[in-house]
Amino acid sequence: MSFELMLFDNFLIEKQAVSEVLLCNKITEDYSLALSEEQALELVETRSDSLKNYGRIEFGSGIIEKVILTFADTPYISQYRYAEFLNELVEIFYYFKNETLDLISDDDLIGTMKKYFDGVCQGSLDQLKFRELERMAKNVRLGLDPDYNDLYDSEKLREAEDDDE
Amino acid sequence: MNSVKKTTKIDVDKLSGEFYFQSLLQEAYVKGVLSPKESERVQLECLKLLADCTERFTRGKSSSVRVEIAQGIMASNLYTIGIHLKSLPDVEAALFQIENESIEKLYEYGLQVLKRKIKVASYFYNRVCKTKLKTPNQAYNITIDQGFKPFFDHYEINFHAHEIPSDIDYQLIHPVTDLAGVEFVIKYLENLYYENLFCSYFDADIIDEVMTGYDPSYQNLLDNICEQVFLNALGCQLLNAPLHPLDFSLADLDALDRQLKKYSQAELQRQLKTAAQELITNLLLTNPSLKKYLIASLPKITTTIYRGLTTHSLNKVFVPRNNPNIKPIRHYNMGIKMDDAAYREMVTEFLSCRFFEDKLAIIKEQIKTLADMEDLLIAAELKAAEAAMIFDLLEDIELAVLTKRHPLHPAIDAIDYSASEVQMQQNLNAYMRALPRDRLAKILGMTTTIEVV
Repeated sequence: MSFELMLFDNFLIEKQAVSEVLLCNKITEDYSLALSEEQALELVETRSDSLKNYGRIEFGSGIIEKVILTFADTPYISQYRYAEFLNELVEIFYYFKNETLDLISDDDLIGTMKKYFDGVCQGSLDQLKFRELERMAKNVRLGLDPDYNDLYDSEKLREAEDDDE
Repeated sequence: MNSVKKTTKIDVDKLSGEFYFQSLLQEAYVKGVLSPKESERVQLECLKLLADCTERFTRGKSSSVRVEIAQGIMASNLYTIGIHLKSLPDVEAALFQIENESIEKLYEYGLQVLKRKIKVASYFYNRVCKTKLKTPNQAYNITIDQGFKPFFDHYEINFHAHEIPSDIDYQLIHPVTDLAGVEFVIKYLENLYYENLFCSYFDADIIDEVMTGYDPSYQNLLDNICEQVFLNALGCQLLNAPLHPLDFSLADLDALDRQLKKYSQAELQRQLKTAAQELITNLLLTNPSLKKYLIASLPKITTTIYRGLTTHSLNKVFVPRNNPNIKPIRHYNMGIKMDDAAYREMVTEFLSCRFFEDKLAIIKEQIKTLADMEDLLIAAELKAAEAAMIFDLLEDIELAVLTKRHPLHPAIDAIDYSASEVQMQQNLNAYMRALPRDRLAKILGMTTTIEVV
């Protein structure tokens, strides 16, 4: 008998998680977005893989539903690549959970991801992951405001100098 | 009426002190006391408890945690349950509770036990502080003064109950093993209290001298103080000497060597046990736990003494006291003088020699003691250069002895000493002045610590 950390019977858990994901379709259908059962299962598997890869363990229903519901109204997603997009978002979420040293809550992290994705990244996952969230994670680790942007500050300084001239 | 003893399939000796709950479940599962269905229920309830605790840990703000965090919380939960199960009368009672109570309930009971144990730790810490020994040993002082502060300030029973947030450097006679968390701290403090209690039967300054004899820089070592005090006390008891001085002369060490070397290790342990019991009676030790603690250290002490006997280093086991403020006195024996007739003959031959090399040859051949050399140096009335060549043959300690016995005091020499003696003193003084400064300082230093026999 082992007391190694493990989840309950994986099959049962995944089955329950898939049905919870599929329930979200009722809300996302208003935005013409839906996942098939196969895609929902793939999403749940992505979550399990990400948890394993990033050395994390999750209890309860997890964050998939929160991600789906938060990003449902984004203007940069269509049904075409919807599943692929969600898979990437889930992976990005767990990666930055580690990078921010668990100092930021689930809701705040998903909210920040949404804000940048719809805002400065204009729908680019690469910009979200490699630029905005990296900077945000660095700010959190240094105890700065998550939105602090030294590039923005120096640009403003340069503009002010130009105005003076 | 004879009490009926319950029989159990569980081997209590196989249970871990540190991981009690896990080892009990494993034993019970292997021996078939706990059914597979029951053990599965326990596992699932443990995971549910972990999920609840994790949610409390993240304050509901995160659904996931890093695996190390979850492992730590799980270990803390299992430790807390284990500490409750250990507090029950026996293994049977523990298993009954596992089968009939929910894991969450057992965890809550465990938290109550933990809170009580923290009070016990605090009680022992106060006892340790009250009986603290006055010693310059840094590990001892820092461990008591600062080492337990993190524990009493930051010990966290909800998520880190199995951890020991303290800086413990000082080593005990009986190191605490197979325990964790508050149980470790209680056991350590309890043991340290018994050691303090034993040391309190002796004067702190004497203990300091004993430890200085053990190692002059013992204040920087991590070695145990009580063990050395107990060893010295046992040695004094074996010699039937007074216990409180805790000191040994060379003759005492020889006597101990003669007394103990005839025993095998097992016999030695029996002798030491008898001596320890006599020691306990003579010191009027009343605390039964302290008596048990001292007796339990005998196997280790027997090994130390046995090794000292076999390697002829008993002076490292039963350590003579050393007061660093008092310089050690060295006894120098001048030796036995030769027969008068032989001496007269040797002096006549010496004085009749034409060449100084012949005189040196006579000295090398016939002079065997410093007493004879001293007589010859006076009788021969040598010139300064000749005397210097003879002084060259002597060791530093011999020069120191001569300097001590023949200091040059021009004011009184003419009255108290013969012309030959004054000549010898002048020669010696001239020779000493010509020596390198370091060597001269060394020889003059020796004169203060030498006692000529």
